[in-house]
Amino acid sequence: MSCPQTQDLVHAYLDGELSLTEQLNFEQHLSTCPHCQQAYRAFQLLHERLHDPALRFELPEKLRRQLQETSMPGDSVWRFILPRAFAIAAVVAIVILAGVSLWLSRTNQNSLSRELVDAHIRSMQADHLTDVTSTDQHTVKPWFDGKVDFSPPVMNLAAEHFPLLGGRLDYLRNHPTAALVYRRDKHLINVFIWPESGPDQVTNESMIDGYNVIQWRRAGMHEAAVSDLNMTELRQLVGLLY
Amino acid sequence: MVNNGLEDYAAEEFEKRMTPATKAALFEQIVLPHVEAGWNLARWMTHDAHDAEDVIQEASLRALRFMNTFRGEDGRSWFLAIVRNLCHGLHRQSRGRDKTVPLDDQIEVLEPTTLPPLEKMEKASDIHQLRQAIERLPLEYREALMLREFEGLSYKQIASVAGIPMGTVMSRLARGREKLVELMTAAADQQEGTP
Repeated sequence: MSCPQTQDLVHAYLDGELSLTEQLNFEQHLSTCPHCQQAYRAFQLLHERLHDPALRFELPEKLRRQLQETSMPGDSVWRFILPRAFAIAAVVAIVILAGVSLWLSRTNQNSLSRELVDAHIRSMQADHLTDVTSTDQHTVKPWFDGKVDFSPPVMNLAAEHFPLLGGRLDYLRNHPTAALVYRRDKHLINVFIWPESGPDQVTNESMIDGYNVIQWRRAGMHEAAVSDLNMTELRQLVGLLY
Repeated sequence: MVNNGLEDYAAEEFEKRMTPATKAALFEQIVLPHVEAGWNLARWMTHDAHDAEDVIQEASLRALRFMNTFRGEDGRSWFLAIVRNLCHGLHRQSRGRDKTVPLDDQIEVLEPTTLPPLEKMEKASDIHQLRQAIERLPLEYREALMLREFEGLSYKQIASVAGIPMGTVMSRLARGREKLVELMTAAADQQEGTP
């Protein structure tokens, strides 16, 4: 059994590289093609196996120190003074140069994505996935009253195959955060919510350690969906919540 | 958006202000956050820790030396491209030690392939087998897979890091993943003693 037309599209689909039209066409094809379904499941499984932390090599401490000193002269006195001088010089250089503000916001964004992934992983350790376990949004939403100083939007999307499992209190970026837990097949998805002013828009998409993170702003809330679910299906969830 | 005139002016000003102190500070902000990613890539793309160490140290020196060519876009892709190119240089020198399976990049028309049944793949859960299978992938497939699966780079970013067209990124990822599934299930079969 083989499918010459779309067998390569399954990769672009899993990697979130298809346009919306291409995606819809492919999903339609997927529902009728056993070969592509098998390929989809096989490569999704491979993706999960590949983000085993045992496959990553850790930078040895000694090497890290050597690399940090790459830019500094050898003298030990200088090693103390220079980092501070560098910091001041850096601030001056940054203020002068055009286009560096773009890079600054990217660095900040990377560390937020990292925090979100860490929070997601922590939630799946031991017994701490949900503080309130209910598929009913009318139970989960009021549970947050008095625990956070905002009212998070809560929806049960079981009809769209993203059932709500419950909610949890979390803490990110110095702010109490509402975490909603959704499920798609065997994948858990955390949606972190905290107040943030600004225009409604999708602000960032990234992948860290095999976890996909999509962030957006809507109705005065910053929301972030984190999961090892593939990017295309995660975008579907975001589309329903946005 | 910055127009060309302003960008050239910024580049000139950048060169004028590139004192060693500035370079060092920017190195710390732009390169150091990505040395772990660079190390992981170098480790997978070279034969051993010793080679990877040479690569990452050389990559850091080059990044420092050519800091003024960094245009503020994607620090990670910029640094990983340096690492990647050094790994390929090393690979060309040591062809004799190559234990990878042959590359079928030349095949333009992609033959439809049949994957082994899913249950076989689910059984092949040994991390050592997976690691060995990755090591046996041709370097070009391995790098595309690492950049996509470990670093989450987009196809466009992978194309820029590896210096290849997007179409080649897609075919290398597809072939790499298929090969990996093939190698993993073959290893699992061997372990079980089934043909």
